[in-house]
Amino acid sequence: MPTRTDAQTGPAAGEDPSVLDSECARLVSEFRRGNLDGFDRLVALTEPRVRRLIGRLVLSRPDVDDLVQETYLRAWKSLGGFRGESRFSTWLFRIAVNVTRSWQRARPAALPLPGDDGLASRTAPGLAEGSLIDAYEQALAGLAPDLRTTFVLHEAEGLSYQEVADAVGCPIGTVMSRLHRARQQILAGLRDRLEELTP
Amino acid sequence: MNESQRLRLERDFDGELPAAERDGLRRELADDPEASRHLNHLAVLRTLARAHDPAGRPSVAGPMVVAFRPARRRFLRLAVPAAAAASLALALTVPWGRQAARNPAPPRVASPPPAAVVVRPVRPLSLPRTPLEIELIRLANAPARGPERAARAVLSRKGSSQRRPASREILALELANGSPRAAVTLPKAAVSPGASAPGPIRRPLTPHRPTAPSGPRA
Repeated sequence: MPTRTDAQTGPAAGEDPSVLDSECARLVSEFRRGNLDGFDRLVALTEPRVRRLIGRLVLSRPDVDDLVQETYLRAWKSLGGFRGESRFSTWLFRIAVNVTRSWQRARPAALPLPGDDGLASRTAPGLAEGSLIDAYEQALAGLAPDLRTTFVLHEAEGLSYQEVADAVGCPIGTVMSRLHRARQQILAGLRDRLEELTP
Repeated sequence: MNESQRLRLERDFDGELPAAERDGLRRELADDPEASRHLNHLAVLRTLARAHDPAGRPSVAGPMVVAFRPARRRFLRLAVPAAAAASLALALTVPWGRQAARNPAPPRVASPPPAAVVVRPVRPLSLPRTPLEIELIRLANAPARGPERAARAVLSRKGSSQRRPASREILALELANGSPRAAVTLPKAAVSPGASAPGPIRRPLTPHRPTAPSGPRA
């Protein structure tokens, strides 16, 4: 029976979460001491992850830039109140989730059109299963926003149950149930393709 | 595999299941093919979730740069745009000044004031004058008659010396309109002995608007 490995958890390859978090903590402390220029470095360190998270949540590339901008504007305003009880990335993800929620509430539900840029598949280098990831994206787009947020934060961004609960603002039990339901729905959409891949 | 075992299996896959429960669960599901297949599906799903990156494609406008700067003082916020505006104005003015120095503009000519009297372009008077013209000017300068009456007299007079009636009409119009070209001085030879030499016609004439066509100009 396969077990959890380090390669399956945490953020995407190329980023060491511990180093990133320690550097962010140092910059935050400098910022709180009055070195406001440290925020530029914070943005440079965290912007790829925030952008990726928001893109996975909204599935609409034209809106990602605005939401990232809004996330950092809110972070700039409230960074003075960051007490360091959680990781900076988790705190920032919570802002991004709230910004995305506001955007989803204000935006009427729209069905994606074929060939829509927001749903065009962008596979990672080395992953040649274009049709599979298209189906995955379709299944992800069919999830309710709360389920999608929980699933993306845990599965794609590698946050623990507690971190997801902190970011979303709900109990851990809710995180577990949402994650289970999200997995069920996505696997139901990918059942046929997955049967071909797995023995 | 029941639903409870499935939930615990997913927690174990996520690394969130306590060690005490984990060992028992693994023993329970060690020979369950459905559990093994579900774990495989979870692994594929995680791989897809990590590989999925809708915002990963580079933007057409390039990477976004979010530059945060500390808030500046108020006078700086006001002074910088003002300085920028002044620089822009100077940059726009200097080339104009240089070009103006190279190509000086022609002196401005004041436009004439709007004429209160319609002055028709007429043929200028020229010397020597005919006896009729000399008589006309003398009549115009006579204080008792005035230029208008003189002009009427010229027009009504049919002297044999004036061959072209149009010339008389033109002369009358010149006098009536007070054209500067009519301010002429009679030649001494034309002045009769004993009479005072007439001076130039300086008094402006009253406006005259001819109603009849002036006829052909000679």
